[in-house]
Order: sequence, then C-alpha cells, then structure tokens
Amino acid sequence: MDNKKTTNNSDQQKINWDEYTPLPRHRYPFFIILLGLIVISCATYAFMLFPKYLIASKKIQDAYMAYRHEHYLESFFLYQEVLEVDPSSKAAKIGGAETSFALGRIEEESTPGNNFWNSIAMRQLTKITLDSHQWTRIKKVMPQDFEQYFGNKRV
Amino acid sequence: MFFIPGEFISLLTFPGVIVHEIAHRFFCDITGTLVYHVSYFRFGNPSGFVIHRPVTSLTKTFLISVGPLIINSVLCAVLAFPAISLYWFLDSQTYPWIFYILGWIGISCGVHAFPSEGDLNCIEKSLEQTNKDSLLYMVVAIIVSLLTGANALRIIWFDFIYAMFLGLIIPLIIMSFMPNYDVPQLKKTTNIIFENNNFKFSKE
Repeated sequence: MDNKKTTNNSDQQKINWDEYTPLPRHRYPFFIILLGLIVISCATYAFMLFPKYLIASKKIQDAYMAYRHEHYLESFFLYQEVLEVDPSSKAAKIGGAETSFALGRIEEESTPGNNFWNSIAMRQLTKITLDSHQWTRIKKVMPQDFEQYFGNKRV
Repeated sequence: MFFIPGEFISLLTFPGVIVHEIAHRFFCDITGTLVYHVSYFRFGNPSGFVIHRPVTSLTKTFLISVGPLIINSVLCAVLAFPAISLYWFLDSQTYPWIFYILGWIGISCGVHAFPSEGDLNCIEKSLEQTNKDSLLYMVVAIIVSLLTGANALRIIWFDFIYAMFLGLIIPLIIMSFMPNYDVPQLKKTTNIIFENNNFKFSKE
C-alpha cells in the first residue's frame, strides 16, 4: 500500500545524475492523460452536484430542527424541497411523514374528522421499510388507528 | 480489524495510487526538480514511485512529498461527498451507478492521500540539513510527526477513516457556516392548496 516517492539521499548522492536523461516536464503517458481526464470529468460532475447535495443535506438538518422547534409547516415544506432534489430520499420521506402526522394532530384539534395531513403522511410512507428507530419516531406522532396499515412491523 | 494485504488494497484503490504519483510528479515539475522515472502503478510494494534528482531545499522536498496529501484530499472531498451525502444524509433508496464510481474514485484518492514512509524519510533527511531554529523547520517537523503517526495508524485502517472523514466532515463544516433555510412562501401565504400531487401557496 506504500506509494513511494523516494530518493534516498545517502545512496543517490553517489549517482551521477547527469548520465541519465530526465523525463520532459509536464509530459505524461497517454494512459495517465486518459485517466486524468476521467478523474477530472468525475470531479467536475461531482463539483456540479456538490452544491445541490450540500443544500439538500443542510435542508434535511434545518427541517429536523424546525420540527424540533414545532415549526411543523416549515419543516414539512423543507422536506418537500429535499424530495425535489432526491425523490427517493428516505430521510426526507420519513421526516415529511413525521411532520405531517404532527400537523394532523393540530388539524384534529381544530377540525375533528379532517384527515388531510394524516393522509399526506401515509402517502409519504408508501413502499418504505422503516427501521426500528424510524418506526419509534413515527409511532410517537401517528394516531393509533393508523398502525393497522403497516405490515410486518418489528419493534 | 482484519488484515488485508496492501497489494490487494492498492489494486482495489488503484486510481488513488495513480493520482498520488501524478501529484508527486506534478510537484516535481512545478518545483523544477528533474524526474528520471515514474511508475504510476504496479502490483507490488511500493505500488508506485517517482525517481527524481535529490532536492536540497526543504520547501521543495516538503512540497514534493506532501503534494499528494493536498491533491488527493481535495479530490476525495469533492468526489466522495455527493456519494456519501446520498447515503448518509438523504438515505436515498436509489443509488445511481455514477455515484458508486464517484465514491470509489473519491475514497481511493483519500486512502492514498498520506505520504508514504519513503516520502517522510525524504523530508526527515532534508530536515537534518535545515537550521533547527527556523520557523519552517518547526512547522515541517510538526507536520512530519503527525503524518508519521497517521502512517503508523494505517494498521487500524486510519487511511480509510481519513477518506470517510474528508467526504463527510468537510461538507459538515461548510454546512455549519451556511445560513438556515426557511420557506419564504409560508410568510406571504394565507392558504395552501394540494393539487396534482403538489402543494401551492396562495394569498386567498
């Protein structure tokens, strides 16, 4: 695994370097140029993705913090913005469902029988497998009747 | 922890080895040091090397030896983050193949970022010929001690830990300086409508 760039001074001081022809500066073999181009292309692509995923990651954090501070609506829409970047983000779906259930509770207090936010939450959780800690998070805010809609749950 | 032969790891992470050697070569070129032979990758130990004319200047030796740490680390942070964020922060259920490639090249670069023992020996020899009272001597000596420690910790996969650290911690640091996001539409709206699977904000 060692990558050695080495000139052992004590050994090589005896070498007459002028006898050898140095490689031309900044000239690289074809396969190195090719590999360099691949790496540079990947780096450029990654660099272009970098802000998008950085902002999405930051929004996940902010959405979670908004939820913790009970700014549920703000949290919900931040999660939706993350889903626009990555529609398959499990973290955003679960977070969105969690906030929707929290909004559903408020909705239930003001307009009993209205299930708009709870249905949004269930829509977010469609075809998702929850880990035990994720299930615990959801269970904290989800109305008990909704538990029947989940199959093979393990706690 | 388990032992995997270094040659096997080098083979798996060969892009990192090649970038490491290119970085040595590049810094030789920009410091005007004559290069006689470069092995960008080979199956053996060392997995790559650069033979160049001995350098007497500590600054040049330091740059040539530490060059891969700079180039490989930057590449690792840029390449690995999208792949790591998709897995770590977003917990994505789909993982496009390009992200595997980005992650693989990025982590490979990070794994081979540390200067090898041979590189550090070169700096140490150069340090012996440098005035011990100079600030440069102290700075380089401290960095060499840290890198020697890091090299010794490779036995517990420190190079992999470092690569993951670069892909994760640097973006976390950037994120800590970013302003908090909010939803500006919420402040201007009085009504939210759900239509065609989308939410719309209205003033009605």
